[in-house]
Amino acid sequence: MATSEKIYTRLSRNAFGVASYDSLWLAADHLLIVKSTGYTENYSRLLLRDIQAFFVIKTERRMWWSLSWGAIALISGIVAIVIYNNDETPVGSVIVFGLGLGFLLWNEILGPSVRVMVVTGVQTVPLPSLARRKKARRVLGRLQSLIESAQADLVVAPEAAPIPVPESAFAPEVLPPAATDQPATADARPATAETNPAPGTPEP
Amino acid sequence: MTIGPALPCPKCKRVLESYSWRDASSGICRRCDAEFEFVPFPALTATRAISAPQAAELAADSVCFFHAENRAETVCEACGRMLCPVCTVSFAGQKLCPVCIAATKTSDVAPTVRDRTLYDGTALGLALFPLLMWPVTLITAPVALGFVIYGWKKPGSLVRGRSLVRLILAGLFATLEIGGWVTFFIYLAVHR
Repeated sequence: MATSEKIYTRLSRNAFGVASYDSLWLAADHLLIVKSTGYTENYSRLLLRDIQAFFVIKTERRMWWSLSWGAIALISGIVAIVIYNNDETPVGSVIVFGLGLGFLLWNEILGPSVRVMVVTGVQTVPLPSLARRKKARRVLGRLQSLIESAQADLVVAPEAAPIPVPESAFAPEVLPPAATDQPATADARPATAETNPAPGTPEP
Repeated sequence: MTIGPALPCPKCKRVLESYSWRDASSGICRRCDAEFEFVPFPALTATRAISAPQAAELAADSVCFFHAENRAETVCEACGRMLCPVCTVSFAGQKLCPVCIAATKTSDVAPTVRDRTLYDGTALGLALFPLLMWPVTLITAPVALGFVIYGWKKPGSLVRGRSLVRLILAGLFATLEIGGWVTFFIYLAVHR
């Protein structure tokens, strides 16, 4: 039975949350979000043909982890120096210092932290397993062609006219420099409030 | 003038006017300052062509199993019933009728399963973790053995499959723990 059900390819490794971990898998026509506790697994499916967009939002998770590991390394380093000055061997604090430093470096190597959201016609779903920008870009790059081919038979609705946004709505001077490798044009994202309503979303 | 998608900011849930677009694929929410990249797909603006059911006009026309007034246009790939566009459901790469969809939902097949209990992981956890507080194994070892027996033929993880190694290890540890307790009670009985 197990071998006949091997229809999924892993897209991302486990991302640990509170008492559970998440992973992302790809089948021929859908994405599978697996939330596991180790004893049970819950599955959410997103059909490739229904995916409207991905949002990749920058978060401060990396900074907080760096601060935490840095604080651990700093405190254990100070303790190690104090113990060493008392002519003792600071074995425990050196081990904690090494672990703190190692995790700090690893956290920095993983790159900026992000939160990825998938938008469909009826919901916006987070993908917790894509928590770093490098990994998110790699996975989304892999998915992009698959999703586009799954949506090749779609037709543009005649009533879907773009909503104009005034140039004054742009404030480029307050924005940081562009950091994207997604080539797209403005024409690639026209949509209307009528064709893409956000359920339960209040108007500002 | 430019255009932007009428999607809510995924962080603060505000729509359209709260965005400041940096370029076509990135921007910032002016309400919550969330920086984001945006990857749109055709489904954002396009829709699927809907085929309306056609009325059966000739006696020779094949009609839908569920709607005798509609002309059949496809066949259910599971049961072979003729279906009109209303009754045709594209599901897991197949065209199925509603009855077959309902039958699939009550069975434990891959395309519809929503959750699974991992008997292999549960049994191994019950056999190993209580060793940290070993008196508890008097209760957990038989339970772990029960999980091994009960879960032996149950399906495992949908994505990783069932791990026989875990089940065997769990059974081995649970049997050893039970054996240890049996030996302990025999020893007590003999030396009383």
